Amino acid sequence: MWRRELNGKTLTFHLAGINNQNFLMRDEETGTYWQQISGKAVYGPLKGAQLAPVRSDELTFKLWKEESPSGLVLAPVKQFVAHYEKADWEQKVGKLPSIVPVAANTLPPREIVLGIAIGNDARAFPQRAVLRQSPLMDTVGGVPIMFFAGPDQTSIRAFQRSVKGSAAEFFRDTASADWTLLDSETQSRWNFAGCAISGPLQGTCLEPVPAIKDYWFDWQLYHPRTSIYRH
Amino acid sequence: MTPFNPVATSSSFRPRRVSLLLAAFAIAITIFPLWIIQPFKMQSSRLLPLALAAFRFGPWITLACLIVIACIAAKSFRLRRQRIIASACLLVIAACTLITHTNVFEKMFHPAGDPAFVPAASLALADNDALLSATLNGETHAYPVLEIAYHHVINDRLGGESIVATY
Repeated sequence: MWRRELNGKTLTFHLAGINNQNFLMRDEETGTYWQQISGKAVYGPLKGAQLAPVRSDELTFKLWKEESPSGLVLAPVKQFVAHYEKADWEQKVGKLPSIVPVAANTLPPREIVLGIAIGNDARAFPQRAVLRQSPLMDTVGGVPIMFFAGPDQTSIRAFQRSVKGSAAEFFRDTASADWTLLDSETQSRWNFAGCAISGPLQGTCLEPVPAIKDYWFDWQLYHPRTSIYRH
Repeated sequence: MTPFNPVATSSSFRPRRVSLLLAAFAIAITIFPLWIIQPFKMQSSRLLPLALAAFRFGPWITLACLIVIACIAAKSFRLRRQRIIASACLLVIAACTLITHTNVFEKMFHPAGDPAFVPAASLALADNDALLSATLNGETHAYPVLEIAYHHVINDRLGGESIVATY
């Protein structure tokens, strides 16, 4: 998701092509072509420009409603509802062929990964590993990070796990009726939004880490030196 | 007087050949980018910019071809053979012009237009349905994944800023 204001100009994007199985969009104001996954201008008058990212989450409806009671949802466009993807869409797309070369002994091309790039370091976390190990703790580009799946065991978020300047470990608080995490440094209790709801750090929130959900073939194409989280 | 002057012939205007060349050129500039940008094919970093250039300038180039061929067709109206060739080429170039002026990707996946946003309660979504969600300046918009996976691009305003949601 990107900001579409650049140098004081508001751009209007259209689906306009495909490049190595990731789509291209064209802005009608300048005719520049942009790569969807990277937000980078690949051809046209603004070639080389970079759109600024907007942080986004992929959440289940129930969890989203609870977190954002005043949020609004994109309404279906009546004449296209019949065309919308069906519930089995992810499995269907997962079976499509992929043509981008992937090195042996890495991951299947259409394995869904959550990619984190910090500085010159990039690492792909298979979504399956995150769901299995949540909370999953690691360090990328020298920054201690963690992933965890929410109370729905489906929605995933990533945060820096620095507490009071040092890398903390986080644990599920299984004694609590609500879904919460405890940190090893202060024993504060944290919710899925990454905010402390009780304990010494109550009221503070962890720094979110941008994680891109992508197919392995696509992530490794844009991050050729990426490592893979394996445990 | 020489009955055959090769110099004059090669430099004189030959409507049939020009008509056929124009049609071939229009076809090439129409087909080339669609052939390069196939979904289940690698796009080379050398050919992709050429294909995008054809997308960008194709509408103007085919339109220019269309105007030229229309003039040729009008001029050759009295000569039967020339007229048939020019008219056939006119039809082909008209079809190319139509195609280059069409965004085929938006024919496959229609844009959502000016998106409407509604409270969650008014939608029949299931608890487990996935949404892409973003918050800016205290305002939150969510995009049902199955819907945005079809439209792919949603031009939106959120928290007073212009954003584009993509999937």
